[in-house]
Amino acid sequence: MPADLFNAREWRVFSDTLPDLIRLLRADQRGHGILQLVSETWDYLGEVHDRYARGDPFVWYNLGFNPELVLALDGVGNICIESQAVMQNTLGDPALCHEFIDAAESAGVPADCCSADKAAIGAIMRGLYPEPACVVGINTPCDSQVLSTQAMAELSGKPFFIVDVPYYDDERTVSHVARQLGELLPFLERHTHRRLDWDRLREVCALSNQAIELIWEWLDWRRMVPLAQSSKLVAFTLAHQILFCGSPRGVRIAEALAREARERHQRGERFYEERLRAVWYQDPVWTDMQIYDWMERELGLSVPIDVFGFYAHEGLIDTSTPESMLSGLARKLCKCQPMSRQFRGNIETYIADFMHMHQAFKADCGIFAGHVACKHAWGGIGLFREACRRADIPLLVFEFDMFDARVTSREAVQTELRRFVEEVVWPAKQRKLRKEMR
Amino acid sequence: MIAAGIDIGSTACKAVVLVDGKIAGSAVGPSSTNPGKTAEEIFARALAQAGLEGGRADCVVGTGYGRARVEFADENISELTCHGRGASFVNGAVRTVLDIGGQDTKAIRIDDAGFLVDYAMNDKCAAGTGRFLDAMARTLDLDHQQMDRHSEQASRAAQITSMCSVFAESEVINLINDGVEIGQIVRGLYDAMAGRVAALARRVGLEKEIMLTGGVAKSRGVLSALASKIGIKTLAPPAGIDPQIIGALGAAVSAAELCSRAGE
Repeated sequence: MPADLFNAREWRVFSDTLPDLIRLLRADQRGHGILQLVSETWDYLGEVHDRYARGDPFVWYNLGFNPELVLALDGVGNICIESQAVMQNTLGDPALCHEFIDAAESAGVPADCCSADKAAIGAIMRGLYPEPACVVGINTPCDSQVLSTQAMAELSGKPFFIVDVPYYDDERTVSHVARQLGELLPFLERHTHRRLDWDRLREVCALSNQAIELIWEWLDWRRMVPLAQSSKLVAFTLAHQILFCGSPRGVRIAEALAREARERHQRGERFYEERLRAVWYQDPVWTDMQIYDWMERELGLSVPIDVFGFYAHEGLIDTSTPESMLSGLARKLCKCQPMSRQFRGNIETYIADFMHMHQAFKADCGIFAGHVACKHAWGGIGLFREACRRADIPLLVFEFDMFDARVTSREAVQTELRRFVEEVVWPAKQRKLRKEMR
Repeated sequence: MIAAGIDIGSTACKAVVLVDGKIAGSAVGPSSTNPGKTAEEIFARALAQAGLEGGRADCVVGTGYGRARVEFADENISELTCHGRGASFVNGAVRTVLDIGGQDTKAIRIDDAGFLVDYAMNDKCAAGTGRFLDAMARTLDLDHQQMDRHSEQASRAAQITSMCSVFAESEVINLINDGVEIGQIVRGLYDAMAGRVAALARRVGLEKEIMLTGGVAKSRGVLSALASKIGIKTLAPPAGIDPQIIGALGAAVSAAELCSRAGE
């Protein structure tokens, strides 16, 4: 790891741009959500910096894990190994993410592996995260994560704990994961040299619950027609869960997102001229979040919900006892966490959630943005197509890479979206409206 | 009412003239480096065939990759929509259209009025397109009619394993060198192509009737290979209607609707 970690250009890109971006965002009095998200991310990066300077222990984990247990250990920093990839694409420089991917491939990671894993491995190889006291891997949200968790363990050379989530969706699965979380606690205590205080965990879980209730409120506002808030915000639920849930920061972000949506609706604002609504079912275009603005402006298409944004109503963490908290955290990991919920085991939940979102968010169509390396999603595409056909829901299927714009260009994605909207969805909606008027 | 559709594809330009809802003239010619001029020439030929030499249409719709270059068109509509409308015009029972053009292959599902419901496209690879057959015809030194005749005489198909046009060519040369009958090679090529198209077609859900359009639909061998791959009889447009003009026909049908709406 470089001694001057935060002088690395991958970190400097944030310190060079985020303060200005935050100032710009502050100019929009109504955009609390995006402002809070960016400000808190900047604040989180500052916290990582300060912890690093103080010599605090860090725990690394991969993107299927929630940070509550780490946050409950006083003075321990949480690092998700995919965070550089997401942040470079959304707030930094996407070309740096390409460098992570290329570095991982050069080191022997097969090119057809998921770019999330490749980017995570490349960022670790570049030494961009503070050295961890230990690392925690989890085999969610998808099997591919096994690659990055193994690399995380090998490259860090630190003690490694793996949470193995079964393919099933029953209570036995939740109990099995809860038992593993119970075993994880002494592991974390041993390697971070911090004692877990159950009352502190209770506070963290309460904050986590508070954030979730605000996320639910936020998503309820996003069901309204027309959508009064930017489409692109929804994808950040997963990022919020992975980095911030269980902290006051997580509550503040969720509160700001919900407040923005609520106030815009109460003022009767139209974010733009909405003609159509889509459930974006698969990975967001992290490489180019402006494409959502383009869809809204050029196609009149909004995305009120996507698979990364959907947080299922499967209950909150019961904070009454240590066991109930571990069980609640396990339930969250298996059954609520976006992606982990849909990408594990059989395809039924994946399809059922789409149908629910389509109805609840009053969508006109589905967009399967097929991340090229996602074997889970592509493995079920035939059944998913069939289900949409039976339900008479227009579905666009296209290939791209969520972290690597070199696979499918922005223009190619735009062509796919435009063709689908202008050839299928909008004409069908017009015919339906004409029929209803007669 | 005179309505016309012009389809500027990657290899051919097609025009159809409808007079009072009936096909009165059509023309097909090779695409050129000046698509606007080619469109004018082909349109003039279609008008002449309709007995309207030097005349003009009330409404014109352009389609195909070069549709933006049809400067005299009142509107541009994509070829996906036009192939659906055209196929439905010639056979109202059609629900799935497989268009094998020079540059891409499209599987199109339409409703009972011919409107687009779903589609899948292969526009990134030459395998399964007219270009693939053209390249193979050159390798075999045959024209497409000769290829058809050879395939009909073959007792079985040679195995062409490659899904890539470039590698398939090497494979064909190897088969020739191994002394495999030309007819068997051609049947193997048709099977390989049909396999590719059938996979695309299944993505949109095969619903009867299925119609093959585009220049490749003129090949009896491809039609038969496709029917065998998808297990459903695949129709060509009725006798007397060139499958290559279906896109232009759909454009003409859309032009006729445009005229009607303008008149309302």
